[in-house]
Amino acid sequence: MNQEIFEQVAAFAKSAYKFEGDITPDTTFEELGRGSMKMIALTSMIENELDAEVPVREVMVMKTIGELASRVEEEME
Amino acid sequence: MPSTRVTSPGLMEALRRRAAARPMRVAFPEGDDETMMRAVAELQADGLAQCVLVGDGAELARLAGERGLSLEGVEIIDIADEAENARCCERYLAHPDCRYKPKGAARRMTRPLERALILQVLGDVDVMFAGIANATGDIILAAQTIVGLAEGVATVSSCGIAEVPGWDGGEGGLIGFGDSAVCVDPTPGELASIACASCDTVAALTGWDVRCALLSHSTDGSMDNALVDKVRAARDIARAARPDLAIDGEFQFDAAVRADVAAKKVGRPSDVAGRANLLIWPDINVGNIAVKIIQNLTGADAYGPMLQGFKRIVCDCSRSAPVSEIVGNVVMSCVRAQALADALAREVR
Repeated sequence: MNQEIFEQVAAFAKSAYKFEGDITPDTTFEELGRGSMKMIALTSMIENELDAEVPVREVMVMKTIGELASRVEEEME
Repeated sequence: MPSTRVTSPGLMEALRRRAAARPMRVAFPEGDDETMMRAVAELQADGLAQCVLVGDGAELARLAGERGLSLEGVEIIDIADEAENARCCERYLAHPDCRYKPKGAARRMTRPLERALILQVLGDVDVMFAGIANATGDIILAAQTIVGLAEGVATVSSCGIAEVPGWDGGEGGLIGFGDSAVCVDPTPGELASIACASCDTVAALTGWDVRCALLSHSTDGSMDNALVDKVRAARDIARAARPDLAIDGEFQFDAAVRADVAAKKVGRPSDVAGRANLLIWPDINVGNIAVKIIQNLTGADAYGPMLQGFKRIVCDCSRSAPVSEIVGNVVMSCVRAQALADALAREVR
């Protein structure tokens, strides 16, 4: 996994979910908290800042932030 | 407003008259589908809505000709028109609800569902109607993303209205219900949100003074367990959030709709007990099963589910919906949009 992309995705997740703790690739969406609006905010940030569009419905079936970061990396290739 | 109150029989007829009195603008992003296009042609010809088809203009015209359908009076938003796409994109980017940068906004100009929702955000249309080609989940997510949730709403949900033949309860044989279709296992906060949104939806549609009962297997503490606690917590949250609404519970079904049962089981004054005209199920299991029991044992017509909780009226239909069902759903959406437009106008004043 590209560390730089992971760090950017983790920063967006912290902001979207207003999460105070540390985010690792194993941090789950369950730990971040429920809420589709927060997930929408996260995917919008990723699209706006990294120009990588990952549909929300795909993210909804992901377990961890690491999975999302890998998917974003794939989209950016 | 007694003249606009809707009662049974003839719910749909009354709603059609109201829709035709002030046609709302409805965007259809799935006009290439034959059933949807036939419904659009009927809605426009009957003066029930000002229809706007969103798609490839040339393809829509070709399909209409091939199907022998007149789209006279129907506006076409051509997603292949680059100049118009650029103008629309510029307006969208300037709107406070736009969450995208130019590239993201531009790519959505050529996607019919998202473009239709953007037209709604811009105020160019009052209703967005889809569902014959897009899954409900995709419509909900797209609408949450582009239109957003109304203030104070915790979750998207749905409600409906049943017209029960030979029953004089509810509101002259009609009864509202929510949520049988969207929110699977609502938290207390979400259940409160469903109750409040359903009150608004049913009032907009019918003009009733809504009396909303939160249903349970317990009446006023006759049982004591976590399922009851959830409903009671939802009642308290809903009342605190919307003291203007008549919401009460927890009630069993009979205590909610029968005055004689309420008199025995509810030992306190209540505006709702025994005379509820809106029922809120504790979860989707109860909701789905209850609606099917009502339909199958009483021969009731059940209208809906109507999506609710968005800033604007977004409507979804079944992928197998026939023309008549689509027309009915659009009519209901238009009546709700009239009420929303009136409410927004009052806010401006």
